[in-house]
Amino acid sequence: MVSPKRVILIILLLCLPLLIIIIPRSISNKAKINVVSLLNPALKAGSFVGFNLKQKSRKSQTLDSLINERDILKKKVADLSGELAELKEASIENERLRGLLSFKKASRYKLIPAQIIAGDSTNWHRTIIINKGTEQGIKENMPVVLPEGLVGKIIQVDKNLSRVMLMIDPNLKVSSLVQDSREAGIVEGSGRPGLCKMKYLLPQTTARPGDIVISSGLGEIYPKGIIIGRIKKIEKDSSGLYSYAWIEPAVNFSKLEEVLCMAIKPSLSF
Amino acid sequence: MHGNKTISFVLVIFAFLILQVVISNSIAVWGIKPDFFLIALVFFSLEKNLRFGLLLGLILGLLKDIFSGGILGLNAFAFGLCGLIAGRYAKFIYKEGIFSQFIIVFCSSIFVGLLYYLLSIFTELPVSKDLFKVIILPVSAYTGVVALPIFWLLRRLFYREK
Repeated sequence: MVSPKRVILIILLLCLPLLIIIIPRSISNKAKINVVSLLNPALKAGSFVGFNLKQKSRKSQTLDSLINERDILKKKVADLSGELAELKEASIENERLRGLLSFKKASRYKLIPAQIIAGDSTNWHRTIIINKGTEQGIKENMPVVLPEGLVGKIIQVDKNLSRVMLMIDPNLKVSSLVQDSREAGIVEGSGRPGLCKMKYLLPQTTARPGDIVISSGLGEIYPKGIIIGRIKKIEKDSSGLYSYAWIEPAVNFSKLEEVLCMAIKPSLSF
Repeated sequence: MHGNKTISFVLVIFAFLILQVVISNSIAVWGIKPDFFLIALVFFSLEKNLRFGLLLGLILGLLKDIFSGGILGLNAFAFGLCGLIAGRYAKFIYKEGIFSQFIIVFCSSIFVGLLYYLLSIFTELPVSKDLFKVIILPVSAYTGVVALPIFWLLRRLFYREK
């Protein structure tokens, strides 16, 4: 039998998170990013271990496939495969960085490259933590892009790291346009992994699956013309007042490794 | 839990943090990641008691909130309640078989997911009917499967004499 004192203590402890919930978002966000900053070295070490584990598993897969080969050949092939995997990794990284660099040169905005060091701890939200912060010129609400298209925006900043809310997060909303029909709408994360929703299209919309959706430039955060994705399917809202489109984002969010933060001033957004 | 075991426990929790925020992204299936924090919570709550379950739930939930884009406190509440219930009924739950371990983690994940969703619709997330089918159910199934080898490993690490 639990004593009444203990019951009260348990209830108080359980109420503690409910009190934390009502703390203003600006204060709790600041506290959150500060704690993440404190754990930054551990996160970097974790990323390094994760990368090495990936590399090792790749090497072991190569060795498994050679198990019936002669011993000497097996060793040689394993060595060469290991080297090849490393070279391939370097070449892929090189190509990716070259792409980012040429995009950076062609862009009229200052682009700050950043690496991803951690993802979101839940499946409800789609955020990432990058290794650049105020010291490198990152500010809140900066758009984050890749040559393929829009990635998201900065929502929390600390000295040397920031949190990016991805396009597929249900809380991110981007004013957008269908490139061909020029119909306006709002793109937001749908909660479904890898899909966004473009809301408030006309009930008799002329947009079609395959059409490209771009940012409209309204709202002073995202410049006009950044590719968001392609329309996959168009459906009518149950109210009948508007149609909505399922958008396949241009960026592959499951393969993000580096991103570019766009330094723009509000006046440049139109 | 004293001395070396406390240090191992803290290290294991730290390892779970790295698993959750760094490694889980590389093992995501169709964008769905397993909930490593929940696995740790269920395992230790079932081995300990109500008070331990509640405190561990609050700590892990708070850590989860800190590393998420959501509102601070939502996971802390859901995890705290889950740890409390798991710790309270630990004695009455059969947790030796693989199937029962899967069911325990699966049900805990459904409970935490629904509670989180109910709390968040009042605060931030847009209401959507298919989130149960699209997020809660696949996450729970994936977490249940991933929990089996982790339970075995944790039992060997902490409760080998049993």
